[in-house]
Amino acid sequence: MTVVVQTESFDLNNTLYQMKRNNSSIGAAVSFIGFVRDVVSKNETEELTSLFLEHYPGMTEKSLLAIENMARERWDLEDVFIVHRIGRLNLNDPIVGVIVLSKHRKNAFESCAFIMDYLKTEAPFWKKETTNQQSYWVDMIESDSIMKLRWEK
Amino acid sequence: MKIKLLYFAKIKELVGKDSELIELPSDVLTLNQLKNYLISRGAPWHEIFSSQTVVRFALNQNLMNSDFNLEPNAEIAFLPPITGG
Repeated sequence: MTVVVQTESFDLNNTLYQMKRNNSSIGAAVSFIGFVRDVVSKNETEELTSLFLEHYPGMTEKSLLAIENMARERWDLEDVFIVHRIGRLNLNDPIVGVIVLSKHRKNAFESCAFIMDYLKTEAPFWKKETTNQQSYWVDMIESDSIMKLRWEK
Repeated sequence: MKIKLLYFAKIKELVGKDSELIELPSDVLTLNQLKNYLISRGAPWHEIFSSQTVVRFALNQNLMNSDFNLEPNAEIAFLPPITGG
């Protein structure tokens, strides 16, 4: 059970094998990495040059732990790791990483998607995009709220 | 009562600071009353609340989904649309 907010990059593979070590109940590992991509949210003709990520220290960590706990209540999980970067990021940099370890693959696949859908809409992070022309804070992304709705029954 | 306000991202840029301690008039007791009080202080608050700049609020680091009562020394954060991940 770990959540990390950091400026540095991360290596999920290394973390995953450390978490797997000494736990023979784990039969499945699912990981997700989100990267900075070239298309900006506002205007597809502008090219992204860098990204800045701001967050709400204290609340961010609490909110990521709450998301992990919601996932653990819903699925039987062996271990969870969530890392999110802050500060200035460049094109192709990893932004967010999630690892879920469980006995069977179904729980790991589903809970990893669940964690990302909630992180996108509940964890207090904000992106500012810089293009070759301007900088602006990213607006609400409608599809993210819709993705989260699939878990609400 | 005295409360702490926290500003993030676009709101921080519009207000020009990341936080402030404010002493509220005695008739400001709820979030909605606080919003009206800030709007009465003038720019940039009218713009912040009339547009979609602030979409959610946190009380003592918990997301709130509706109006709530203020309490002395509360930490209230104005959150723009969340866009992490």
